[in-house]
Amino acid sequence: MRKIKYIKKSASEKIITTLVQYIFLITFGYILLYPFIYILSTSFKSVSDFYDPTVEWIPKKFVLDNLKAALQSMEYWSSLKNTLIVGIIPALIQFCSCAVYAYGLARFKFRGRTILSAIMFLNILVPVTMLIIPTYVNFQHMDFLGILGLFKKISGIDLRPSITDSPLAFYLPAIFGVGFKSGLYIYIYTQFFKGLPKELEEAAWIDGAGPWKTFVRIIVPSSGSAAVTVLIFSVIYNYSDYYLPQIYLSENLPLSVMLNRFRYSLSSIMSYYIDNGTDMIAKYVIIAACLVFLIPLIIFYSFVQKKFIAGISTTGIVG
Amino acid sequence: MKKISRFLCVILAIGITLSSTACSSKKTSSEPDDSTVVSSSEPVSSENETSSEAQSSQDKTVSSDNKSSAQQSTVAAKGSWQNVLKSMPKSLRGTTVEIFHWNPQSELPNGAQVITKFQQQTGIKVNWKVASYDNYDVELQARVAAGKSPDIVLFQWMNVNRVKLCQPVSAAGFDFNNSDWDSELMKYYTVKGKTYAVNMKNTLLNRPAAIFYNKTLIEKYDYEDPYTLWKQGKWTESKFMEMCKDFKRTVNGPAWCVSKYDVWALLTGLQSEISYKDGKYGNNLRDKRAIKAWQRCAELYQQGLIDRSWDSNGFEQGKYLFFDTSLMYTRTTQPYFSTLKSSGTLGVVPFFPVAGQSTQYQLMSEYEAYGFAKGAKNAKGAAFFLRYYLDPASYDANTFFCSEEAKAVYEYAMKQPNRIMHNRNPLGSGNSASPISEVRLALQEATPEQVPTVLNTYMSAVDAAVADLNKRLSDLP
Repeated sequence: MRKIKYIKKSASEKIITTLVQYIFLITFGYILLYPFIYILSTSFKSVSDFYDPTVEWIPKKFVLDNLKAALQSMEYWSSLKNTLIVGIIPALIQFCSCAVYAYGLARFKFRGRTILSAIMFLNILVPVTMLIIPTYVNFQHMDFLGILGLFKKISGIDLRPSITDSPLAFYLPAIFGVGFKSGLYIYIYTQFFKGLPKELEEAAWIDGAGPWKTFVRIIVPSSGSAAVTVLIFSVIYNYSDYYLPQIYLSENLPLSVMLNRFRYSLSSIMSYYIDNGTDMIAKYVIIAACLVFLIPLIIFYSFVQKKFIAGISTTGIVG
Repeated sequence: MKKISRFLCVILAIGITLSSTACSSKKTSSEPDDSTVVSSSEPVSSENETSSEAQSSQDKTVSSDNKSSAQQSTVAAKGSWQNVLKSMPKSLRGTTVEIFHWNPQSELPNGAQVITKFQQQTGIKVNWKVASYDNYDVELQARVAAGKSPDIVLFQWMNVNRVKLCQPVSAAGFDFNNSDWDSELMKYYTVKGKTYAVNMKNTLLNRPAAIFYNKTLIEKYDYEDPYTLWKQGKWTESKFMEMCKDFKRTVNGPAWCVSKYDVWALLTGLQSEISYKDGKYGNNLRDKRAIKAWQRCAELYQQGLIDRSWDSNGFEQGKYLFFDTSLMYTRTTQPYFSTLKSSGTLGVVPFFPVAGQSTQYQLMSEYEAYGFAKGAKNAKGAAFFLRYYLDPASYDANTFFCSEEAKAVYEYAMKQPNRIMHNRNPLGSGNSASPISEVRLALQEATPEQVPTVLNTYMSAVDAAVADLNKRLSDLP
């Protein structure tokens, strides 16, 4: 039997190693946390802090004006409701539907499985911008295999519904596993399901359970960590996405679009300050808007953090 | 069971085959176009046009380019809005006009009230759709391909990708050739004799550039007020440079924050790297003035007189004496420089005349104009809307700008005979991956001695970009 040699470190070596580890962690942590600290600090600065060169991180006068202006300009609560409708609900739908498709790909051998796997990878690889125009045209005149279009040609009646400007533009792709980054979630689930022992399912089959019951009763309860990973990615990506809502929606816009608009149009901020007769610094309000945008995500993440870390180590998927 | 499934397969196959024949749309001239509605007084000719990027086979346009029909129904009224309103066909009442903008209505001072008044006076409803600035062309293309075209499209500069999604303004059957309209600006939106975007002559909705200055610093360092100097006819390049050098000596920092690194090129009559004139793009890097202009910019930077970042916060904090940008930022709804505006310390003055130059160019940061999208359902109503929306009389100029000085400088700038239209991004908004961006970056980093080499290095890349742009222009009908 091989002997394992333990090399004992001297006290000074331990100190140096610990020191290096802490320096690295503090440096890396600072780099990661810097934007957030900057946002937190700037959101509460006043106009007088803007002109005071001694104020860097800690405002001399903490004010809530920037946050109030941000909340009003973004129409925060209605935008948050819209985010729930077109962001969170599709995320939850994807969270469920992708598991079903992944189970099929992972466990069943059928004709066309390779093609479907390739399509799944294409969903990951092909950027959304490449497909946005044909997708928009398709959503504007929803049709299955051109049958309703044929009906229109024959009868002159256009039965093709338009799902742009409605949440269906987000729900339908999510239901059918072709939503925003669905390929990634299917891939995560597939890898996880492939790692589950087949004996679990075989035991269920022996007991008379069909594929669906096996999935619901055996697979789903076992996939906690992967499910949490997918849930977090899905929620974060859908919450932060502004490209698709911008294209599909012209009203009832989510928070991500309202925040993005501040990049080129600040008149909504101006109206708050005209109403209140105060001076303002546009940059501070935009930063405050970033802060209020992040708060729901931080709250969400704080609840699922533990399981997420466990999920990363189980699935081996990061970012 | 097997037979039923085979039967279903056959039915599905037939359905797919038939529907694929239904997908192809072969239009004849007699076929009505259901995506565009025009006034019944105008005959319609339909063309089968497909956007090269869009995959829809149902991209149809209607244009009333037939000259005689356009003359029959062209609204020829000019002068006051009331005059024009009298000529509006009654059939337009109750229709809707959709404007596709990247700013909300509130971006313009009293913008919402202007639109409400227009709706009340004409009975035409205005739908204001806010698009994303970065993806404006993509969204527009998607809408046009899907047959959901807006009526009015916004231009900041000649953008051939956007022009391709628009129809000539003559399609609206409205006379844009009278003296109300800015024919000089419209030339920059004219290709093969067809104009694609319009703006009015004395509109408040354009973007000439000027120099902003901090009055607090002027007083603090006991400089002469630039606006007063301008009014007295004493605002010169040497005066300006004297102030900049003195400021630099005093505070040991740049005096002038330039928003365009190529500002000197524009002041000497170059439309930046790529020109657009007489319906054609050109490569300005060959222009003899180019080397001198860009060397001048590089010299100023080397002397530490200019900073090339758009540091509006730094200017507001008193870091710079001068800041050049569009007069659009003097509007009361613009939050930039708000503390300077509210304290009355934001000064504005036109650019100085360049020493030794016989022609003084008025720089247009952007040359805003409006066009009609292909497939627009109500181009005629849109024309009436533009006539009202762009009319300076529709706004209260005193509450439009933050100060009397800003208003005076704006009016002066718009009346200048030699305007130079800045081609900020000929390839469209959000297109940073282009040789134009690369040459700009390289010129920013170059010393005056290196400028000729940089221009030579990028000559062929810009030539290729120009050839590509001209090819796209030639594809226009």
